[in-house]
Amino acid sequence: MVIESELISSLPPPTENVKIHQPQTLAFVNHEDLGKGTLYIGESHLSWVHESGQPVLSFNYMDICIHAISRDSSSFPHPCLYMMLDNSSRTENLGPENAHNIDRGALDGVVIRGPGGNDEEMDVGDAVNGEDDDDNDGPDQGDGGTPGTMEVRLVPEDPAILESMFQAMSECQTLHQDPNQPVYDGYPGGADPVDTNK
Amino acid sequence: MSKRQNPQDFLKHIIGKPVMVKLNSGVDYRGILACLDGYMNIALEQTEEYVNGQLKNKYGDAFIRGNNVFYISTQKRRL
Repeated sequence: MVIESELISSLPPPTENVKIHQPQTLAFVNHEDLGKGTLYIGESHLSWVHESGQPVLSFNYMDICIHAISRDSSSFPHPCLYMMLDNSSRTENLGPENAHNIDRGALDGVVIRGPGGNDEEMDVGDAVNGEDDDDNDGPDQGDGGTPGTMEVRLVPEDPAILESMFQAMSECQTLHQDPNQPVYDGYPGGADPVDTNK
Repeated sequence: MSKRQNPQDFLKHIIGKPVMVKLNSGVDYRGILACLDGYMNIALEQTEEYVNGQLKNKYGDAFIRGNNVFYISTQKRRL
């Protein structure tokens, strides 16, 4: 079968700095079973190659807006590595005007509301910027159906390796920051993670 | 707890706590904040995905790319 999407790159599977090479991995795109193949989590990009050699699905980390370990069998029958792809936030995909708007949006939008006294009293409802109740707002995103987004689920034969797949992807994600994305100013250590072992 | 906090103090303070992360797309993720960096890349544990206010998925660990993050907020623990 052929899947056409601007979210799928034409790159061949990575050959260098491959963190995970996992044969016998099932792939599902928007719940469609593509069969069994080999997963490559490389520092440059991620690929899945069907065991017959075709198709090859390659993804850029900058298009993967969330990845997660899913073991919730009520939404999907197999424990899997879940990925949501969405390139709408990438400034390089927009014209100069839109890129400008997105930049402003990103600067204004990533609002961290500091506690005004006792943060335990903060509620989701009074979060930020007139963004009131979180229910019933935002665009409708049905199950794997929104244009410009794509859901991919990768099911390894042995679910025990999901943790290492997730870790490898997390490490590779941080290697691919959008150059136009503003870094949170004044952050201690710049882009370094907050130390969780304080 | 200190009277005045800057945003990074706030972020350090909420690590390990229940938070809600709203994406530009409108989808939100609720879970325990594991860590984050200056790009607002965020790792959550015990994550729940809400679309239009409805619980759609649960994830053990989740990693959210910072450029999709609209805001992060602390969350009251649900009883």
